[in-house]
Amino acid sequence: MSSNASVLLNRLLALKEPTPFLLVLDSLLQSAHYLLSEFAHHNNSKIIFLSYETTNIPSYASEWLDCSTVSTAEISDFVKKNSPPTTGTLVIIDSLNYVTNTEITQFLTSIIQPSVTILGVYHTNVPQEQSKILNYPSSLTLLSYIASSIFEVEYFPHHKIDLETLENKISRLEIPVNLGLNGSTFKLTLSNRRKSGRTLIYQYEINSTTHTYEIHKSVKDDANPEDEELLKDLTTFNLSTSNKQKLAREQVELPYMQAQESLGSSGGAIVYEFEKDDDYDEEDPYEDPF
Amino acid sequence: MSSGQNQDLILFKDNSLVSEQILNSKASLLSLITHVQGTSPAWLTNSLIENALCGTAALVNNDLTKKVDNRAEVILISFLHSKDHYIKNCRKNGLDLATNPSFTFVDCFTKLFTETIKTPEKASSEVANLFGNIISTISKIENSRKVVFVEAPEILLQATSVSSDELLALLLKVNRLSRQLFVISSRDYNTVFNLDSSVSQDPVFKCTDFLVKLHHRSQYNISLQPLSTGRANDITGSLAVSTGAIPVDSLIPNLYVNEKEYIFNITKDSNVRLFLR
Repeated sequence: MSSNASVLLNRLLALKEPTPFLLVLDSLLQSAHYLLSEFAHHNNSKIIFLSYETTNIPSYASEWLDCSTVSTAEISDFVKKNSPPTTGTLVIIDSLNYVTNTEITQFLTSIIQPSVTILGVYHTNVPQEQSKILNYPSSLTLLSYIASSIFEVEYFPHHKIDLETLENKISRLEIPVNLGLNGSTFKLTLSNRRKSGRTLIYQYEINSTTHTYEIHKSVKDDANPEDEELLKDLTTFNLSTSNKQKLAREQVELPYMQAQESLGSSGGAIVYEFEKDDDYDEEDPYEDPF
Repeated sequence: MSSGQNQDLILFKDNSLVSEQILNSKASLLSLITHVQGTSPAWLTNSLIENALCGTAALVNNDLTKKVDNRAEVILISFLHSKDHYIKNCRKNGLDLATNPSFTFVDCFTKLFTETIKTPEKASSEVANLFGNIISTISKIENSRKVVFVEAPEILLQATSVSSDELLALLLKVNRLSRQLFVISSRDYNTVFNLDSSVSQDPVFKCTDFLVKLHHRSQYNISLQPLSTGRANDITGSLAVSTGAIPVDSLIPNLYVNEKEYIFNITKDSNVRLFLR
């Protein structure tokens, strides 16, 4: 299980899986910056960077286009011109929040080509505009539907902190300090959609400094330890149960078990047992209770 | 609290405010200074102007004493104050901005809605012209060590038809011309910022969209807010220096943000006292 998960992640990062559109979801707590660097680290293929918001051109970008002032057609032409049809090309879009809700599908289909893998970043904290068309899905819903794999980067808490308080602070744009927000170690939830229609979901802890990926193990909540622990050393009385007592308790046959046994012979059917006051007319078809 | 020892304000681990490494680099950094009502960052802006112009920060840092003439070019674009406001306020920092050759003020306040923007309901081209002038002013300055301050650009979102994406695209151009851009904006909950807003014409939606997207571009942020426990006589508010979405060391190796939270007190004679929280 765990080796499958790491193999899949490595194959996706190296673009060895047939996935035309990879969606990266990030937030104010954890940005996608380090995940994009991981993609660049694993790839030798050409990287086209379509930028709406990146100020400084990343060193890994082979081609760069400032999309903030150009039309969709020009972006599509730029990608076509710069992506060789035979070798794979990675197109990074930073970010899809700048494309309007009604144009987003058209925008993506104009770029998608057989040799191109699109890696689109979407910031989940950016407020979503209510569509002018009634019941039209939001950009996030549309993108999640189209994507062949979704990488959701999340803040990885190094200390025990109340995530609700943290979210509350973020909702007022009060960014707490020294919690390792936007850090190089983060949690990644990967949803990979197979051709068969099956979805594989794995969680990882990514350390982008050492490029090591571990399977994320959810920490058990210690708030409810076993009752036995609570009773220990509480009084001078013996409130705990010994193993022998536990065994005896488990072997007690409860009354409903016996009731089920006698009914069990009819194999799950509903058994109606007549009582003496029941008035049942065999000739009336509508009176059959079943 | 008054008996506690004052702390020096620093933004980076090399004990600097506007770091020399930023001014010498080829990268363009973005930093947001956000505030809520009651905690105006005027004193911080003045100290950052002072530090960029001559290397000192008399009010907030006692270690930065070495004066360097014409350290960097400072361009201040304000939608909220006139030049006189800054000339008067920076006197306390030992600066004469009226005569300083490295200081350029772009007044976007005095005639904003009388001459610059006459049709706020169709303001896209007028705002683009305004920023065209700002960009040409910055481009004319030959020194590459430029520190740009943009104060209260959210006024354009609140009072005109310009969209947050248009304004962000224009600010990106300004950012690329400078070594360091400081965007100073308010973030009052519900009147300026609310993550649950969804109507695109609503100024709160536009401002929220603007601020969240800026946070996804920035390298480090400074946020000021009053104490959450209520008003106190000897504390004005708290100031947090936090890392942004893009790490500084990815652009300038070995430069790290000094993530700290301070509490500050502005005394009656406009002195600033800072304490680590």
